[in-house]
This record gives sequence, structure tokens and C-alpha cells, in this order.
Amino acid sequence: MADLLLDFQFKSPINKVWDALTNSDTLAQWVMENNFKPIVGYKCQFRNVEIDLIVDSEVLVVDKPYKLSYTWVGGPINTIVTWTLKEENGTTYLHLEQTGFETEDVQAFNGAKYGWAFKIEELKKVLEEM
Amino acid sequence: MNNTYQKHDVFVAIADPTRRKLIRLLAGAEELPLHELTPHFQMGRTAVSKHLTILKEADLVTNRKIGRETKYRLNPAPLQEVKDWLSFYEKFWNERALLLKNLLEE
Repeated sequence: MADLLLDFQFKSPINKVWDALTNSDTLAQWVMENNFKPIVGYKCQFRNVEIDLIVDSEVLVVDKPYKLSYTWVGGPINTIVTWTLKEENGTTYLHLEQTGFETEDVQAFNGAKYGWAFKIEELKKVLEEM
Repeated sequence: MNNTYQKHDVFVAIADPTRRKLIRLLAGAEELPLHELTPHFQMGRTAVSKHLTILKEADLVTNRKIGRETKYRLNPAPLQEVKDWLSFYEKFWNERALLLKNLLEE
């Protein structure tokens, strides 16, 4: 119920997709500014200054080049993002699971609720303009 | 627990598999008493009742007493909040994956 499952395909080798998922500079180009490192237990942040979106993350699984998992905690949500990769005939299949969607802290959730609703609208606009 | 907590604790309420199953069972019926819900679980009626209380606190379930029996009913409105977050991230990651595709195929 509270899980998001998505599948993507890329005509690129699995290692190239893995690098895009784990290299901080590349992540900045397609997700957000970050100080990510693919080291289990490493704590980092994803930030989008323009829209004031900050996501705290802790790396949970690094199984190069097949599986990458980290927490994704921002505003009212406390989720886990897991990427699973598989290569067949030159195509890399990328599976995303974002699970949890629990509140990390009730106070923060209540306080952030309206602020976040506003930020989401902002974010939607940014995404639409891309 | 104050009222605000109760009103907004949907995410915690649905984080548990037993409570998700209760929601599904209640979604398939108009109203159910505890003794009809309990046989679906590997736990006693007290444990199931505690889960129902958490769902009640999140406004996901309402109950009413009919004679000696309490009947439970699903109130799906708070689930919309979760759905909003899911659809937000669904769009977010789909957009991000398009950017990734462009990057990879450069």
C-alpha cells in the first residue's frame, strides 16, 4: 500500500548505470546536489537549494553493480529507496522500490505539513519546466 | 496522545502488515466485529484489538457498539494523504529517470 515500485530500461551497460546511481557528480545531474558515497553506513544529504528540499540519507546496501539501497528521509516522510539492476542483451533493467512512507517524527510532520505541500507545488513546477 | 497526533498518524498506522491486512479486510465489508476479524490473524483478539485502536487513532477506522458487540468500519479518507506522497514520488522518479536516460545516452 505504501510502497512505490517503478521499472526503467536503458540501452547502456549495467556498470554505466551503476556509476550514474553512485557517483556524486552524476547524481547531481539527474537527482539533486548531494555528498553521496557508495559506502554502507555513510550518511549524506540530497539537497535542492532552489526549492529548499533536503533529504537525509544513510547508505544501507552496496552490492555493485546489482543492488543499492539507502534511506530517504525528508520532511514528513521516512522511506527506503532501493535500486536493483540487471543487464540482458545490452539493456539494463533498473527497478526502483521506495518503501515506508511513514512519518519520522509526528511533531515535524505536523509542523511541516503545509510547508511541504507548498514545496511540492514548487517542485512540480520545476519538474514541469525541465 | 493528543488529538493532532491522532489525526496525522496515518503513515505509522499503515506501516504495519497486520494493520494493512485489517484495512484490506475492512475495505471488503461494510462493517465487521472483532470476532470475525481475529480468525484472519495468527494472534489473539487482544492483539488484533490493539491494532484496531491504532487505526482508530489515525482516523482510518471508526467503531460503534451494537448491543454487546463492537463493529468496525473503514474510513479511507486519510489514505489520500499517503497517496499524495506516492504520486508525488512516482512523478519525481519518472522525471529523474528521463534525465538519467539523456545522461546515459549522451
